[in-house]
Amino acid sequence: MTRIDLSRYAPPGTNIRQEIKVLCAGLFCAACCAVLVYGIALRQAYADLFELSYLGVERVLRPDAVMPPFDVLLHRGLWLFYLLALGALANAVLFHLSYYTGGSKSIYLMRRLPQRWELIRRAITLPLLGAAICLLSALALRLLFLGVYYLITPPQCLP
Amino acid sequence: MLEINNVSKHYTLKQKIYGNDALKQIDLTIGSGEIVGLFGENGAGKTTLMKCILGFLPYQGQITLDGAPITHSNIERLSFATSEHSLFPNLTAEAHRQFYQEHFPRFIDKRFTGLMDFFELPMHKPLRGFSTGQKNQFEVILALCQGADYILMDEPFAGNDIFNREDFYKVLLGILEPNETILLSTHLIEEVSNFISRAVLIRQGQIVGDVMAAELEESGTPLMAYIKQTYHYSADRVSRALDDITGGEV
Repeated sequence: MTRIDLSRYAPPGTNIRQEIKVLCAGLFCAACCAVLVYGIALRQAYADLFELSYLGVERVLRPDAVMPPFDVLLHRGLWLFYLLALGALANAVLFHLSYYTGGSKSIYLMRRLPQRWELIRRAITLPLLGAAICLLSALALRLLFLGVYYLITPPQCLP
Repeated sequence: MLEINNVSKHYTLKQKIYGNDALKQIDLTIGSGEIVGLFGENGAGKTTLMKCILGFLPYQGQITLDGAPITHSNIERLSFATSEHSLFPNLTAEAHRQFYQEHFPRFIDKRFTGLMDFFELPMHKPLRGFSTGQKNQFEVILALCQGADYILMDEPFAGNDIFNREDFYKVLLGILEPNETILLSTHLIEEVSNFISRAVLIRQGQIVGDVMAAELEESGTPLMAYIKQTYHYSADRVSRALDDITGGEV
């Protein structure tokens, strides 16, 4: 399998490993938050489907029990992923482009290159990739949460 | 041939309104193989002119290279060495060489190795660890080795000692090919007067003088004298200023 040299898609000399670490840390935090938010909401909603029996001994399904819609339970659970994606794009402007003008003015070299798109390519490729990974992660987590929703919800309680 | 036709540049609307353009209707033609010294006081427009040639700044007028506008298709025929440095701080000299080899097919590797050895610059040390003088040297080396036909240098020797500079002038004359053209902006008039073929004077955005070195030599006029004459430099301005400041007490 051919290894892709990521350094060709970043400003020359930038610390790509550090950027990947930051992205992974961000994804981990966003995933934890999403699991927490959705987990708490789902647990509460599931508990609300039941009531204590006449004898007060066991919990039984309420006759009118309906699980809230999935999107209501998910609510803002994935917002951190969307913010992370936005942050990755903002990184292109704030860091990758400013890299060429802070201290040494390598922008003068980049703007002289015969390869027209080299400057833009190195500035935005990795942030766009990071944003795409964030959105794909959000989608994967959404599908996982949806699966859990249908798994634990009694069929008669589905909205 | 590099042709600059009726080029004007203003940075602010106020400049445009009051006619204080950074460049005012510049007309200049630089032929192949010339070594042109571009002289002028601070703020005269030397750097602005070079940046317009390279396409870094928008301007009015026309700049062409052998009749064609300067675009990505022919920009590699121009190289640039600036006192601001256009280097990647975290890359080594070797990594810069690889970058240039990848992007400029006409990169002259033999010249690069020779100049690196001559200036005794480290090949495997990140540029952020270089001194200012070393960065100046490396900046010029890259500009000379890119394989460009027109090499623009904007005060490349700021911060270098005189021995360094003199060595460099000698090496520069020795390595240049007949088709390589230099446009050199510097304040070190007397140092470069011995090897430039032409002097262009710029003042307040306008070209006020343009003379071949051979003409000056023929007339017996040193370059510095020509510049003072063109600038209408008043020799007694220092004594007049001192009189004003001290009230004639000195």
